[in-house]
Amino acid sequence: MAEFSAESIKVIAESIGIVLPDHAAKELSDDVTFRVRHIIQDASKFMVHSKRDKMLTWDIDHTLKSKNVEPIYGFRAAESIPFRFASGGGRELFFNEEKEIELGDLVNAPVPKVPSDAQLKVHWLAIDGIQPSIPENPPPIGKDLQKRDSSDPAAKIIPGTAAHPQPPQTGKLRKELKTEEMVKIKDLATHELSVEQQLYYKEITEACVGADEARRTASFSTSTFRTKILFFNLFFGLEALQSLSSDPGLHQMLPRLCTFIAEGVRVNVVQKNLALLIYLMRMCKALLDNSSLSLERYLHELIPAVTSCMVSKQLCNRPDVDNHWALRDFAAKLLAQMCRAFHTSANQLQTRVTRMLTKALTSDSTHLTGKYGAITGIAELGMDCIKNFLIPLLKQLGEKLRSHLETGGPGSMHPYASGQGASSNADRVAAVHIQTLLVKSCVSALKICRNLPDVLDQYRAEFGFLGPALHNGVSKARAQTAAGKLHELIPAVTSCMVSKQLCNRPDVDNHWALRDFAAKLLAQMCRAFHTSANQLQTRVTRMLTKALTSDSTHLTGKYGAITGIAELGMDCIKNFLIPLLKQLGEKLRSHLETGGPGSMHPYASGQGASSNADRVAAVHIQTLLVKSCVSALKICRNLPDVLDQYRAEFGFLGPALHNGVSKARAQTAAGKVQRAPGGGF
Amino acid sequence: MENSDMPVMISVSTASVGGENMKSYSSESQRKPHGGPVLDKDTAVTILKYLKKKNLDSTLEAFRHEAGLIEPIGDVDLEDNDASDDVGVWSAYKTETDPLDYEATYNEFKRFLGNALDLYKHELHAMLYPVFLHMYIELVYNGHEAKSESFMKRFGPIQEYYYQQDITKLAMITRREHMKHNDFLDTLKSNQFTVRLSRDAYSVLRRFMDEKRAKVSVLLNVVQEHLYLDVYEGIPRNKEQVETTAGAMNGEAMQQANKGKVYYGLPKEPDVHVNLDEPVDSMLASEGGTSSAAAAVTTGAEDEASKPKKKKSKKDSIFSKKTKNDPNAPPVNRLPLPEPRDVDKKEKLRAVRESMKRITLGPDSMPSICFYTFTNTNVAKVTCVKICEDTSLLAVGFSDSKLKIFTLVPTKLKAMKKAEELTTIDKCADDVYARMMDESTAEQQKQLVGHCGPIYCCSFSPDRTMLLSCAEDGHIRLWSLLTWTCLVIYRGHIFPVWEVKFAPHGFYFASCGHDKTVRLWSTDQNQPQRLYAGHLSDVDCVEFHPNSNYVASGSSDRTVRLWDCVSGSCVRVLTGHKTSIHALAFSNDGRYLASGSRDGDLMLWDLARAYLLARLDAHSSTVYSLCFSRDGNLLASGGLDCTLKLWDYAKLAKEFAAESSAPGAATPGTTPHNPDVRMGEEELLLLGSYPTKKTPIIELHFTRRNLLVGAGAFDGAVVVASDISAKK
Repeated sequence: MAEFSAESIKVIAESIGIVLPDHAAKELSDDVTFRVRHIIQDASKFMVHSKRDKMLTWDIDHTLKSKNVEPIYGFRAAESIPFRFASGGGRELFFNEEKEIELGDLVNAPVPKVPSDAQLKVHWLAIDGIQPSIPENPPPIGKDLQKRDSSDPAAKIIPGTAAHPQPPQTGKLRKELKTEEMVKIKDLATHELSVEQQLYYKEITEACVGADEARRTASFSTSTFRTKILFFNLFFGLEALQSLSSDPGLHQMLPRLCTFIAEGVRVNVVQKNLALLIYLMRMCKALLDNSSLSLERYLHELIPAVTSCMVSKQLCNRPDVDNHWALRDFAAKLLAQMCRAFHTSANQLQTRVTRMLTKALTSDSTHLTGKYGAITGIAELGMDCIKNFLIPLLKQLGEKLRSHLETGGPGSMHPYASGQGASSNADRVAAVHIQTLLVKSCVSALKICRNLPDVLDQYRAEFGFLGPALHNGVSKARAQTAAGKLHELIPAVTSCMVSKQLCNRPDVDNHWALRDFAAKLLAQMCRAFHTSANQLQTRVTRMLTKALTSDSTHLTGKYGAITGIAELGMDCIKNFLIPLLKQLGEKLRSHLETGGPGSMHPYASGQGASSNADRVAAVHIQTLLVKSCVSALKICRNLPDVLDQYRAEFGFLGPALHNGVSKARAQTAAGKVQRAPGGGF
Repeated sequence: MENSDMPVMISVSTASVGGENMKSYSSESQRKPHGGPVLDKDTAVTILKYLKKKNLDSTLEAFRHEAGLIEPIGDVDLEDNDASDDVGVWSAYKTETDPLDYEATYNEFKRFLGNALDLYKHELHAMLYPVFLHMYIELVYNGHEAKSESFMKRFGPIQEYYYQQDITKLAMITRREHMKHNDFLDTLKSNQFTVRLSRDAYSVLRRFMDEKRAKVSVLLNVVQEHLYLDVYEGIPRNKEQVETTAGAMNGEAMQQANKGKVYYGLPKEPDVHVNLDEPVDSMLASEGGTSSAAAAVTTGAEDEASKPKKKKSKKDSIFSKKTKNDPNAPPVNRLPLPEPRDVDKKEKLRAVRESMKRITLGPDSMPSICFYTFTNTNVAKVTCVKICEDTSLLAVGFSDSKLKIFTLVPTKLKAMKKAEELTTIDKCADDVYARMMDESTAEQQKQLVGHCGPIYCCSFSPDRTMLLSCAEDGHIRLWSLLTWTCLVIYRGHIFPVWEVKFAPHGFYFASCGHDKTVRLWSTDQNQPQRLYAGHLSDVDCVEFHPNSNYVASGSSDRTVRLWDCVSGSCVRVLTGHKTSIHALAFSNDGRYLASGSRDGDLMLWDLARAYLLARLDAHSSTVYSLCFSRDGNLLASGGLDCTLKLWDYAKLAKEFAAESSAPGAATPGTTPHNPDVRMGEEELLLLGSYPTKKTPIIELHFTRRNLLVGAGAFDGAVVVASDISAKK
């Protein structure tokens, strides 16, 4: 039996500020366990009399009340409170999540809707002892039972497992037999359908694939009373397909319906009747969606039919006009749904389907339309399949597509092509479709399994003809996903750059490195995601310049802004940094030479400390400015570098810059000399 | 409403009444196991305590003097309250025995049972549990904590499965402090556990105890103090026979408990004859406009001539029992009943007319089942549903203390006009009843508010003008369905009231609840007429005998009891259920009783001989509703496993009748054991099983024409049994 451990008691005591000695906790835990058990025992009585089999908080409340204990108010919940589970450090913990609720939100929230009142509904549970198959009643044979039947046909023979309700008509017969001789025999499946069921079958099949277009969607009525009850949906005049997807009593007709679909596909693929094939697939989908049916036993009929609709060479009479691609896509979706629903380690359904599709894809004899079907089939099966089966084939497929798209089709390679001209046109259309499909389905997989950067040449080398299209798709996709997150990332990165203080000891810790790194990151983002639409770089630059020119920005913040601008490239340095150099120089001078203006910094807490930190910052800024501006100045200023000019132009920083530029010029010149000893000189 | 200020008052009164009553119960129960002198002292101490508490010093002195109590003892007792309690209540458990002895003794006892001849073995086996029980209590009481734990661990699991629930409760008690004010233990110690033994088995036991007197002194003590060995002359019973009647919390019923005669027959209904003659049609015709049976009248004039004859013949078949004077029926005036009014006569007439249209059910003509489902019950859960006798009204109780009445027929629910308007009505008009009603209040459903706790049961009066309801607040309320107000609050139960039932003849009603009592009330008195104490745990359900003279009750102590309304005594104790009982139904002839329990078992009892006749492993979860069809051919059962089942009762009844008329079938108590019980015949008797979609079935009702009506609340959260098995 579960009990409260002494540790629990201790923790609970601590939570209200009491420290318990061990023996007291033990004593208490024993007592608490006893009381709680006692209460729960009694609460179960309240539960039973409320006609439930799940205990609710109310039951505990009532028990406490009956024991003359004040109930714990405020813990009422109509539904069970979900327990969360957490484990770690070898301990397992169950707790219920308590969210903090903002009282203001609660008060201002609109009043929740009044729960709807209890309603009384009536239906026939049985008519003359027979339970009708209406939505209010459970399906005659549950889905799990159908499944069990299909997986273990012997289950019925073993007594005890056949605990499902017998259909009353046969049940009575069986009982009489039992009294005579107590031998358990597996019931022979009744294969004959009742009159009503035959009628229903006829109606449904005619409605679904019959010539009468109106009936397919329009309501159809049946006359006999029993049929109305048995097939509730028909009675209420719903669509045939909806009837198939929601009627609970179809399991007896299922084999016939499946055969109907299989045969229908076989005939109509030959006759190239696209419309009927589509309706057959929709029937198949409806059956698959019916929650009371288990199609497991009929997969051997349905899967070939569905696959036919995917990979057949020709599904319609005018392949260049009719949209048979949609049918292939629909069938592929259906197949994927089946694989998901019925794949087990025993039947290896998905493996077999994939193998079949891959074979069709690699085989030379498959027509392009068939290849399309195979590709869409694999694509629907999910990311893993695409990665393992489709991507390795991309180059090969690309070559084939190239031959169709660029040369107008190899012609002789396709033994099925009837006429050169017509074939090449149809093939071209098919090739275009395949290309679109491949790009669409592979992009998301590639995006995940390939690392940045996406180099076009790599793509071309790897995927051949499809390389450029894929590269384009992947980069677009990346940009889209990343761009979506920028509004969160950029403020974070910027904060790391321009915050006044990023560490506890600014004069010791190297927060400058963080600022530099963040600046690099920001620059990379700007390069990657800048578009004319989002004007990312412009906005970032504007923001940084503003920080730089504003008087209220602390020196460390200015450092961040400068390094940010510097990372954005030569142009930015030239346009935004160099014009400010003189102004910045003056500020630096005041810190470096006079020990800081003090009064200018309202945040500085003490004169001495501030001036020291500021001095360090000023030095850092100076170094940074010189480093980043030198290369720009070297390019945009002509020789000769006159010190006075520099001083006049850049003020305090002039000499340092002049020094830097001249050194840089000398270096480059020396490098040139070294590299080309026999060149100019 | 009128009760806006009620809750506070109610809770106060409940608490105070509860405290006093409980005290008086426990002191009463203390008396039983001990002899005269002990009792006197206990009582004296109690009185002394009371006097001391109230500071009535001079009275105290006088009492002490008069009672001849020696001062010091009295004082010690008064000071040390808890100790005195313990001494009084638990003295029987106080021993100086070495705790190691218990396990050894119990082992010895087990060995003895194992080696006993097969003939006696099974009867003696019934002693295993009570001995275990009381040895454990002794161990705990004497403070041998570790020993008691190992004793429980070692021998707890080997007890019969039907005692495991009690053992779980017992295992919770691990210290002496836990024993105080523990309801369950109080019950165990104040009632001796009954074990029925044949004379031979008893002598075998005696021999064993005599031989090893020294070794098994602990056992001897337990048997003497806490066991009642009910010895009978005859051959010992076999395993099945012992098991069928085992299972109750306190052992089997004693033989003499079931010796009394039960008037299970139905008395002749005096007014049926009169009504069946000529005036019938005219009365009905006048009533036809308002009644829901209006369709019945439209049969046309051409049938008119043939009707009387037809009725006569049919009536004979229906009321054949009543026309012959049933020798087993109670005298008509045994239970005083108010004179039937005109309305009642009319109602009876309607019932008879309706019943003529009913279908005879059987395996070949199965009933249709109409099911009422409540939806949107996630906030306020449905706790009870009742359908009135003529299936025109449905009452439903919710966990949020509301009570709702729905009409199931086109007639809407109307309230009576106000008093001043009523005076203006022409009292001689034919449709005076219709005129009394206020048309503007017509509704499909009406709500009754007044209780302050989940409503656990409700019951319509036979004339459908009143409704009783009982709730967690311990009150029973009588509501008028004419004015739609509360008429009376019956206070008496001190804990939640689980069920309330109107008598089939009206006027009386019975209730039962958490306080272990069944109470019989009449609507005109706010004090119970009878208070039946005897159940050892909650009384979970109660049902009136069709002749209104008896009340049956089912309890969590796993017994069914039958109480006499007139004498107030318990006339039957039926043991055999292995879990608490939640549904009861009398067969139409009043001789048999069906009961359903929490584990889904159905049992059929013969009240005449106090026998268990059949046990059906019917459901996988609690049975909440049982109903016999109007022709008595089918039994319908439904419960928490969301399945409604129909049983071929006619077949069973035929076999029962053949048995009871066979030679050797005798009057109650003459044969010591139960005849063979039908078990495992579910497949032969089950006629149909109708699962619902996650709707537990909490009410079943056959209409007068034998249409089965069921009701329940849809609960998406219920896990259906088939789901569970599928998961496994």
